[in-house]
Amino acid sequence: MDKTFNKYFAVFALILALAFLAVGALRTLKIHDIETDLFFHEIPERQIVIDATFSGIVRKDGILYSAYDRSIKQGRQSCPT
Amino acid sequence: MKRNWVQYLSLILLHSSWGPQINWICNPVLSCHSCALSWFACPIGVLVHFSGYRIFPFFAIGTLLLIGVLVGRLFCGWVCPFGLLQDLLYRIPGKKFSLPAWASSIKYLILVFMVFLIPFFLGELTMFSFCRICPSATLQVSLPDIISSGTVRFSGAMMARWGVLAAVIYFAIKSSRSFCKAICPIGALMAVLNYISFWKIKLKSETCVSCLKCDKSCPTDVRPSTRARNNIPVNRALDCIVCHDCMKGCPVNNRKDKTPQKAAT
Repeated sequence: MDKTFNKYFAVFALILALAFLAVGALRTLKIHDIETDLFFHEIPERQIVIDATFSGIVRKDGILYSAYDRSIKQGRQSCPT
Repeated sequence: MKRNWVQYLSLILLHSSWGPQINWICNPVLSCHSCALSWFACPIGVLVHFSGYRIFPFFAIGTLLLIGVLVGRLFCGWVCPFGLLQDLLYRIPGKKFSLPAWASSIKYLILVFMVFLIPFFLGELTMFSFCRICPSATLQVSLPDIISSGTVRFSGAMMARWGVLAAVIYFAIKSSRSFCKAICPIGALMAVLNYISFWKIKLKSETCVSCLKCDKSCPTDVRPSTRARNNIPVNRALDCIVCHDCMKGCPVNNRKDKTPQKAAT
C-alpha cells in the first residue's frame, strides 16, 4: 500500500474511532422493564456494555428488556453462557 | 524490555479487579469478562451480545479501532494472557510444525459467523456463538466453577467446549501461536489495522545480510525478511502480533555498528 494513502487512512480511522467513542459515550437506549413491559429505562451505552458481560439485557420480539431489577444495587454478576 | 515479563505482569494486572467497575472498556485480548477477577470486558463477548441485541456497538468498536490504529496487534504479542499460555505451551519439547497458510482464513469465518451473523439471527444466547466454545472462558470460568462446586455436568455443549480447549492446547504445543493464527476472532478484527497502525517495526534493508534469522524467530511465520528487504515495516502483515522478536533475532539490528556482515553459514 502507498505510504501516503496509508497515513491518510490511519488518520481517517483515528478520527472515526474518536467519533465512535463520542457517540458511544453520549448515546442512550430505551430498555423496557421485563415485568411491567411499559416502564422503560434510558440506559447509556456504557452500561449496556457492562450488561453485555452478564446478559443483563435480553431481546424479545424486537424489544430490549432488562433482565434484572435495576432499582436494587447489584454486585458483580457473571455471564450465563 | 523482556516481552514475557510484560506478559506475566499483564496477566496479574488484568485479573486483579478489586472494586471499581470499569468493564465498560473493552480490552482487545482474549480474557473472559465472566472471570470474577477481570477488569475489562472481552470485545468478543460484547460484540456477540450487541449482535444479538441488534444495536451497533459504538463504544466497543471505537475502542478497538483506536487501539488498532495506534499500535496494531501489539496487545496480542505483549498483553494477551492466552497468548502467554500459548508461548509457554510451545516451549514443551517435541516435534513442531507450521500451520498451512489457508488456516489463517478460518478466524475471519469465525468472526463473521460466530461473532456477528449467528448471534444476530439466533440471539445473543445462542449455542453457536464463539463464547460457547471460547477456550479462555473454559479455563477462566468453567474450570473454576467445576473446582468450586465439585460437580461436573456432562452435556453436548460442555463436551464441545472442553474438546475445543484440548485441541487448542495440542496445537499450541505443536505449532507456535496456532490459536492466534487460525481461530482468534480478536486477531481477525485487529489484523487489518496492522496495515495502517502508527506503530512500526523497521528492519533496515541496507544492512540486511539475508541470514533469515528474523524469519526463524517469528512466532507467527509472517516472514519479516520479505518486508525488511523492501523497506516496509515488518509489522505490515495480517498475522503479525507485533512481538518484536524479529528485531531481537536480527544480528545486524542488535549490533552497535550496524554494518552489513556476511551471513553465517
